Amino acid sequence: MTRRTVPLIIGFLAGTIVLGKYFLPQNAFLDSLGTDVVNWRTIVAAFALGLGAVNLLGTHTMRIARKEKGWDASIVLLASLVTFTAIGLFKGTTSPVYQWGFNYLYQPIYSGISSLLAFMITSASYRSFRFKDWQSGVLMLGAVIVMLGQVGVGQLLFRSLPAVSSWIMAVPNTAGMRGIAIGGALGAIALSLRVILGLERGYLGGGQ
Amino acid sequence: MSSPWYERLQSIPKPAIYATLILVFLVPLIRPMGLPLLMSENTRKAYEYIDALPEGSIVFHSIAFNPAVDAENWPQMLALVRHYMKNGLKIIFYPTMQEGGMYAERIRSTYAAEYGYEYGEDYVILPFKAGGESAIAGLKDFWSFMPSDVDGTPLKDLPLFQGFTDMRDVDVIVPCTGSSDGLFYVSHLNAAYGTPIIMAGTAPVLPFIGPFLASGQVKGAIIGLSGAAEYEILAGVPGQATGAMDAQSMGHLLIVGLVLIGNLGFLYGKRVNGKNGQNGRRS
Repeated sequence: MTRRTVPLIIGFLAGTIVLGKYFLPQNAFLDSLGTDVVNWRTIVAAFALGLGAVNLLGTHTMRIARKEKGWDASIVLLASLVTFTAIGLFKGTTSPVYQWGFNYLYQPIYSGISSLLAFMITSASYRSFRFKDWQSGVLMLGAVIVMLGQVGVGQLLFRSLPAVSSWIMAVPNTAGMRGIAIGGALGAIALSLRVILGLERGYLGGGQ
Repeated sequence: MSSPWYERLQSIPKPAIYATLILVFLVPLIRPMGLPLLMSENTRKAYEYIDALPEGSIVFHSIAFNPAVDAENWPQMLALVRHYMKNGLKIIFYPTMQEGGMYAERIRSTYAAEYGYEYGEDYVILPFKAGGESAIAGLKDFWSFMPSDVDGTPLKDLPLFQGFTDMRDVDVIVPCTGSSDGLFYVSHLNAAYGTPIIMAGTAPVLPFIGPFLASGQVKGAIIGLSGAAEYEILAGVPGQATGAMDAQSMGHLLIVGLVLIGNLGFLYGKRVNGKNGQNGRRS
C-alpha cells in the first residue's frame, strides 16, 4: 500500500504545485514552492546520472569477474571511467589534462563512431527509396529535392531547386509539424492530468 | 548465369558504395571544387538579427550537443561566437549536455584571446545542469537556480552580472543543439518573457522549428554544416564549414545518384517481370 501511495502523493503534490505556480504567478508561496520542485528535478536528474555510472561499474565488474564475452573491453571501460572521474574530482573538469582527454580521446572516438552513420544512411537510402506506388514516389521525390536543395550542387543542376526545397520545408513540413506539435501537446496535457490524479501509474514500475 | 542488368543495378554491394562515398568525400577536401554556396533565408535572418544587436547586448548561448553531432554544431558555434566577439556582445554560455561545458572551455582556452575577451567581464560559463527541460525551466528563477559559474565563483561577484536581474535582461537566446531540445527555450522563456530565439541546429532540427519560424518566435536559424558555412561568409569570420561544403554537396549528389540508379533497375524490372518484379536483393 505505502509503496504505491507515497509516490502517488508525491506525484500529485509536485504536479499540482508546478501547475499552481504557472497559473497563479502572484502567489509568492506557490511561486517559491514551485521553484523548489523544479530545482529538485534537476538534482534528481543529476543523481540519476550518478546512479547510471554506479550501475555501469557494477555490471562491468561482474563481467570481468566472470570473464564473460568482451570482458577485456570492460577493463578499458572501467579504466576510462575511474581515470576520468578521478581527474574530474581532483583536478577539475576545466583542468588541461581533463580537456586533453576530451579533445584528443573522447571527442575523436565519439565523432568517428557517429560518422559511420553517413555510410549507413547512404546504403539505406539506396536500398529503401523505391518507386513502389505514388506515396513512396512522393516521399522519394521530396527527399531528393530537399537533399539537393540544401547544397550548392543542387542549384547548379536546377536553378529553382533551392526555392522548391525551401517551399517544401516552409509549407507542407510546417503544416505537418504544427499538427504533430498540437496533437503531442494535447496528449501531454491528458497524460499529465492522469499522472497528477494517480490514474496513470506506469512510472511506478511493476506493470499495473 | 549472371543476373540481368536491372537486378544488378538494385544490388550494388555495400563495400562498393562505402568506397565511393569515401572517395566522394576525400577528393573535394583535398582539391576544393569551388561549388556555389547557397544563402538561405533562415541564416540571413539569424545573421541580421545578431548583427543588429548593440554592443554590450547579452547573448545567452546554450550548448546542447555532444561529439556525435559536433561536425555540424561546433562550426556553427564557432562562427556565432566569433561574430558575437567581433561585435562586442556579452556572452553567457550554458551547457545543457554533459559535454557542452568542454566546448565552452575551448572558447575560453583558445578563441577568447583572439578578440581580447576577458572571462567574467565579457563572457561567463555557467555549470552544466542535468534534467533537460527542467534545466531550462529553472532559468525563470535565475538567481536561485544558478548562483555560481562553472568555477564555483558566485555570479553576483562577476562584472557581467552586475545589474543583471533575470532572464529578461538577455537580448537573445541561441540554443546550439543536435536535437529539438532548443524548443524548450521557446516554451519556457520566449513564451514567458518574449525573449527572441535564434536556433543553431543540425539538419534534422529544421523540420521541428518550422512552425516557430513561421510564428516569429524563432527569429532565424542556422541549420547544418551549410548553415555554418553561410554564417561564416555573412559574418566574415574564418572557419572550417565553408571548406567542407564541397564534400557535403558531393555526398548528397552520390546519394541521389544511387537512388536514381536503384529506381531505374527497379522500374525496368517491374516492367519486364510484371508486379512481382525483383525488388532489390540484399547484399
